[in-house]
Amino acid sequence: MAKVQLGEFEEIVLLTVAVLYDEAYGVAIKREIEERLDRSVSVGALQSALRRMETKGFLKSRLGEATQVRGGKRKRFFTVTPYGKQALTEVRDARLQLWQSIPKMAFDF
Amino acid sequence: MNKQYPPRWAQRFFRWFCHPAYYEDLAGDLAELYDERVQQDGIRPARWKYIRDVLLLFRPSIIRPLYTYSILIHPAMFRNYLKVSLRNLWKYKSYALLNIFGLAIGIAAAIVLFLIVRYEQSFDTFHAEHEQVYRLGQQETKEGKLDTYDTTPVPVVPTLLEEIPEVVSGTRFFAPNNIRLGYRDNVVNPEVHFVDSGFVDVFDFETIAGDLAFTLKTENYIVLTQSLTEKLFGNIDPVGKTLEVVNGEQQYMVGAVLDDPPANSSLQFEALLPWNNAPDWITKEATWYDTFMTGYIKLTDQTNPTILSEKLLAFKDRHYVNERAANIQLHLRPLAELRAFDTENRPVITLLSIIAVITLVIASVNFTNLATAQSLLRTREIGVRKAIGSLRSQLAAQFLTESIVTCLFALVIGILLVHLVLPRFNQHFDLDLTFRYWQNLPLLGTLLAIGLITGLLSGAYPATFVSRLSPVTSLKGANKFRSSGRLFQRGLIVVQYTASILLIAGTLVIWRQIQFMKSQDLNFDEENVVAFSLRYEHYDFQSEEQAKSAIKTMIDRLKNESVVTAITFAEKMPGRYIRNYNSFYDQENRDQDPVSLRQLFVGNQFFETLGMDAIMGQLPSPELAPDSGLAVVINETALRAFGWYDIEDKNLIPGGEKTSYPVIGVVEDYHYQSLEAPIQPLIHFYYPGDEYYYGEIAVRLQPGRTAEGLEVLESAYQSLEPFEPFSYYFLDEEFDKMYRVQERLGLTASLFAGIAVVLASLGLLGLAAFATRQRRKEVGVRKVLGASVGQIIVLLSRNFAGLVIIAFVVACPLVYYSADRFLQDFAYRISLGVDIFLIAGIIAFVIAGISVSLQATRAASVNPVNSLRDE
Repeated sequence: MAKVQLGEFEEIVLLTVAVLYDEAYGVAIKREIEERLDRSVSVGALQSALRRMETKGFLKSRLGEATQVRGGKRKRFFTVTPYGKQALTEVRDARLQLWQSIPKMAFDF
Repeated sequence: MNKQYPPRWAQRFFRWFCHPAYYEDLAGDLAELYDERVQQDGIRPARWKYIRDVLLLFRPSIIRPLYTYSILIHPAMFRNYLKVSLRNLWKYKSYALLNIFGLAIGIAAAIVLFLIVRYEQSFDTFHAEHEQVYRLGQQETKEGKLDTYDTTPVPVVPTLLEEIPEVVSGTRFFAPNNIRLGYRDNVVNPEVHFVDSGFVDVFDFETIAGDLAFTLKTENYIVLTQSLTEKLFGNIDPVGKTLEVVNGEQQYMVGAVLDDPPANSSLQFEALLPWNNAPDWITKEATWYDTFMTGYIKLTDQTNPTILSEKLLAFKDRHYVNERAANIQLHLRPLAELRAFDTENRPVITLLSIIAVITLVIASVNFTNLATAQSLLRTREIGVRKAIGSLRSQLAAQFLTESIVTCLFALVIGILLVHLVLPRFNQHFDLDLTFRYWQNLPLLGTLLAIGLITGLLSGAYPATFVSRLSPVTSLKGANKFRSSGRLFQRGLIVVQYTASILLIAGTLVIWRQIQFMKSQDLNFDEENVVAFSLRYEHYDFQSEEQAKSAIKTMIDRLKNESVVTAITFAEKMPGRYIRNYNSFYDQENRDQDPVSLRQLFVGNQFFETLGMDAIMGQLPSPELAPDSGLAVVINETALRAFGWYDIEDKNLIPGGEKTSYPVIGVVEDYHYQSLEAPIQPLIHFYYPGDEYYYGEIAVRLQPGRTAEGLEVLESAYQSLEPFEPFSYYFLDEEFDKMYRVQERLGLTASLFAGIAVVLASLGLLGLAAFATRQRRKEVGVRKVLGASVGQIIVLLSRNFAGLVIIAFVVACPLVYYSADRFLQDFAYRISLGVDIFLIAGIIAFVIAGISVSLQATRAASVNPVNSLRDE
């Protein structure tokens, strides 16, 4: 994990954005994480993670069309960039490598 | 759809802090979540969660950055603002001058006044432990009235030191008449005091050379001040040199040299002698009745005031003779309060502080008023800026920075003005004020704050109201403003004129009171009387006999001059009287409380020369000398103080003595002291044949032959071989000189009142100019329709007249209250007539009228074609 800095919460958010693919905006991401992982997510923490990763270049965003709901405010949809994907892969590989290096006896309880 | 929305404040707060680029989608997210929660949990929890979410979003990555918001910092914009403000200043040059210099003058005046006040309050605080040092005095209750004297009987200080442990050290101060000291050919006549060795502990005058403590303990040693040393020795090292007393056998060795007492020291001296060099009549024979000198004591820093005052009471009861003990109390006056007590400068200081504040208020108000008025002329600029895309907040920032910068500029000019004016001011008022920045940091801080506040205030109106104008109205040139701005301006004008009327009336009262005191009948004929000192020390007399015969010869010579109509002697002539009093008992009623009488030794023909007559009994003369030798004449107040109706067989016994003196006459009360205080009971001692001892000679000259008379006097004076050149004074002038403090106050007050009034009318002038400019078209139309110039002037001035009248109504009670307080300090005072109010009101009205009608006339006489054609 020498090259990329990715926190645990950031990793989850990034993965969720990827899961939602074309429908990844603030409320949807929040709902998805809460449902899948059974943990509550505050809007503040989520949004600050999203903006942070956008400036780092893991994410990019575009504004959707205005609709009648949500006070006529547009949604901001996030998508994972190739660099973001690379970061995710690196994190996963590093984990995997560690998993594979665990001797059998270590988990032999 | 539920119509219940999230809390408005939370929405606003979010809008305020959120980064503009994120705002839309985040607000949308929040709204979506809210709607969802309303469905699920109900309104209340949804609202709470909304607030929680907003608060949790308040974090660095979401909050808008500061720098992109502030366009002011942008150099190009800033340059533009600067250029526009400078162009504005240049375009309205007279406004700019009025504005900046008005405030600068106000600030300068306030600084100078503050320096005066600070100087007065700095007295005697340079002694490191001055808070523990007190001057001893006595308070005497007499007929329910409390009299305070800051003198103390001779034995008090050493006895206190022995008996009360809280008193750690102390010194007495006694100035002998005159000691003339010589070193080779240099002779000086310094102000010498006898002091105790405790002087070293009590005071912190700086020692330059020698050993002060040793010198003050050792007989026949002397301490000199630096300037006296230079006069006597020049550049020679003075320590160890011997000084001779001229016409005496005494010799003093210089033991130490002190720096000159600073100007802000109440104690001024040129030389100090150790107490054991004082004459025997002080050191050995003085009693608890001899109250003619001052004493200072220093207490420990843990002194409990209650315990100490109990101890002082016990002390007094132990040492004072019975009847006196009941009435007298020892009194301690802190060193730092000496100046206030001795010069009675408290009302002066209060008055000057008030004037300083008023001047500053008027100046700031002026600045605010003019800046507000002027901003209204810039509506076009605002319109253009808004049309191009300026935000309201940017315009507000522009106005605020502009006014604050102008204010600070005025502050700097004000400080420069102080430096320019202070030397002249010092010279004129005989002061030694300095303005050093590091000594006046609090003052400078306050001024800076005032400058900033004035800047904020004056920028506040344009920043809030003018910046709100819509570009269309402002570009059309329509001047429709809320009345609140005008009300604000008018309120300020009323404040200014109230202050001005107060100052004008105050000045009038001060001058009237001074004139009143000067013109008051003194109850004796003070005109054409010249006096000069006859103290032996002033002349080169070898012995007392020689002195007497020389003076006698001189007097005989004067008596033969036709220009001299009468000659007399007295210890001190009226007008130069110095405190000297004793308690006296009525011989018939020895149990009665004694009466404290001022004493005065007079010579032959004293009353006749000064044009006084006995209203009871007789005036003293050599033929009428009583057996005891010493005749006594009292004034009416003294007669009343003893409760007498006649003086038949009345005798007086001075406290502490056995001999009684017959009262041979009573004279009408005459003024021998300043008219600030009521006439005190006075006793004259007359001892025939001993008159040449008395300190001063007074000669009545023939009216109209003053110059000739002075020549005669001078040649007579020279025949006595004096040390000093002829210095004389006229009795009537001496009384006039007493009111110097009040005159100085009056002059200062007039000066600053003048500044305040000028500032106030400048403000009015500016506003009037502005108001008439706004009504140019109206004036044009009215003229076309046939209005006369006079009618238009009245039309334009009417509003302002109303304001001055309101100010007058507000000022009247203030004037009454403060003038009444001021006059309370004078025993003989003018009554507060209606005319003072009227004169002050009329002056204010006329000044206001002039400044307004100048503008109105100009507007009214413009050809209507010029004002109407740009339509």
